[in-house]
Amino acid sequence: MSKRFVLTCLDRMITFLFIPRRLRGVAIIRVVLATTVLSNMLSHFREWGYLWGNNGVLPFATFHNFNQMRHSFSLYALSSNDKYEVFIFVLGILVSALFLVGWKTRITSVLFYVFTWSLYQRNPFVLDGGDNLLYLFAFFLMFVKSDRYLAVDSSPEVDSGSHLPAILHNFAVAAMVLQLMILYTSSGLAKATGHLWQNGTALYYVLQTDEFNMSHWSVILWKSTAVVTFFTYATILYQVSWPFLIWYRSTKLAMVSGAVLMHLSIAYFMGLTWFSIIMIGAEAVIFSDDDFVYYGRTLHMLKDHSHSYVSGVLRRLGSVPAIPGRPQSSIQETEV
Amino acid sequence: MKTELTPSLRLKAGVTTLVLALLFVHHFVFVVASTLPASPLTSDLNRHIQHYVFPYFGQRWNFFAPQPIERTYSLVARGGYTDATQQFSATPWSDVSKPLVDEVRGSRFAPLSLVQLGVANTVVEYMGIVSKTKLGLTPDPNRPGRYMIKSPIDPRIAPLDLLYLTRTAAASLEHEYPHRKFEKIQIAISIHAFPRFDHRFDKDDPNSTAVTFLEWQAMPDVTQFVNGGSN
Repeated sequence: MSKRFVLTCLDRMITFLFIPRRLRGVAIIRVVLATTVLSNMLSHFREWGYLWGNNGVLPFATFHNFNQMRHSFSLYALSSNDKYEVFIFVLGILVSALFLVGWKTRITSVLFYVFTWSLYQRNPFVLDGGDNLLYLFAFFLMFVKSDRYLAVDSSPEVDSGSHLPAILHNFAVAAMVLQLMILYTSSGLAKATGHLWQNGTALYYVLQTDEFNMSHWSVILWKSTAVVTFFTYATILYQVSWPFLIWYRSTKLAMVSGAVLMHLSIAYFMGLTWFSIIMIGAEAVIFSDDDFVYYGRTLHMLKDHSHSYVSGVLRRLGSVPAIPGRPQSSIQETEV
Repeated sequence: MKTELTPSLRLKAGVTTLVLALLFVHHFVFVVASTLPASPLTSDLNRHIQHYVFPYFGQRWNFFAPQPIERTYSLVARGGYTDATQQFSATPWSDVSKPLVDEVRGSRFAPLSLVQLGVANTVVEYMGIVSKTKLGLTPDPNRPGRYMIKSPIDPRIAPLDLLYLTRTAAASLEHEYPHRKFEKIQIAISIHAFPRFDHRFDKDDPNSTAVTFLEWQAMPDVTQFVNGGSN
């Protein structure tokens, strides 16, 4: 292997990493995570005293000891003063709102992580798998450019002097994808070892427990042996195949559609709404910016085709004038 | 965007990439190891996993695996007080879990959804430890399916879970009986085993519910719920 060959490979890799990837995906994730935290804080504001207050379900002394035992950090552990705790909570709401709208994300992403982590540590009993993914992703969001899209404060294009943040961005994006792969693989493999999953009846037991039986319609699901068996096996198959099928444009859309359907069902039938929203939002990271452009273009084309089809039908009926087609200039070109 | 790779830029970018790649591999080796089932490899790595992964990157993805829960756990509680005749009296048992579940059933975005999640998480975890260790669990010989935990503060039986459940039950009772001054509280966990899949159309067996009682404790002072969540 010549030195020239090694240098060429190195140069290719470096120039690949110089362009920040999946900017649209991380922007969507930023919006979803910030919306989740903000909505939960606002909707539970009146229950603040019970959930996170000093005289709430976890008194300050207990929380403080627990926090130290776990070698963890929380802004709420710095003082037991009630006013201070409310101040931190309100500040957390403000930080989440600013991060949601994409204002100065270099700073607000760090603050979002610190405030969200602090809140989660204040009462870890009210967390679910969605929150687990949320704080892991919030960590990686500190290193990505999440403000190029869906932000009030879009950062300027990357210039030649800022290549190193782009490399960091790409590693963080890769970490998010790998984190999702770990999630789906370990969840699928753990299920595959359980006998109720193996005999195809696990879904019935999940839907029978009171706290996950949130709809009267779930009886339709568990009444039929075929339906229960199908969805039980489909869940395992979907989860273990996820890491392999997200790399092709033809299959990744099917995988994401599967994830959306599965998590909407979880939200509706099992009541794990925020968990489902986080899981659906997290899927955005598997699409490249090219994918978004491609799907956008396909959608426009479908729209135009349907417009011209409808207008043709109407013309033939002679009832209304033709609907003008969408101008081509409305299709956005991107650099990635 | 085409960039001219000068030697200094190449060196800077190369070193950055190398350092980030090493951090990336280090991070995910330990994260993956933390999600693996217990094995000689994970026990060798355990010290490093504990130091690096927990608490900041801790994760558990075995949703309903390897087995989904095969029973419904409910937290029930009653309050003890001194009545007008200076006798110690107790309220009837109140179901703490059910009203919270009903609240979420009514609206997926109910303001008590986190309260419900906290109770559900803690009850399952607490009973998981109790049934695994059998510590302090005494069957009542006269009443099949009734158990007593004599020493609820036994540090071996997840005292933090118990504290969480007791305080939630106290908040719920105070919401339900706003004008009563409670001195004591007793909590219990009812465990309803629903029919197996093959018997799912059978009528529910009333004897399929076991209850684990905990001893009376001093009533804690807790901020109560503002919204609903009581019977």
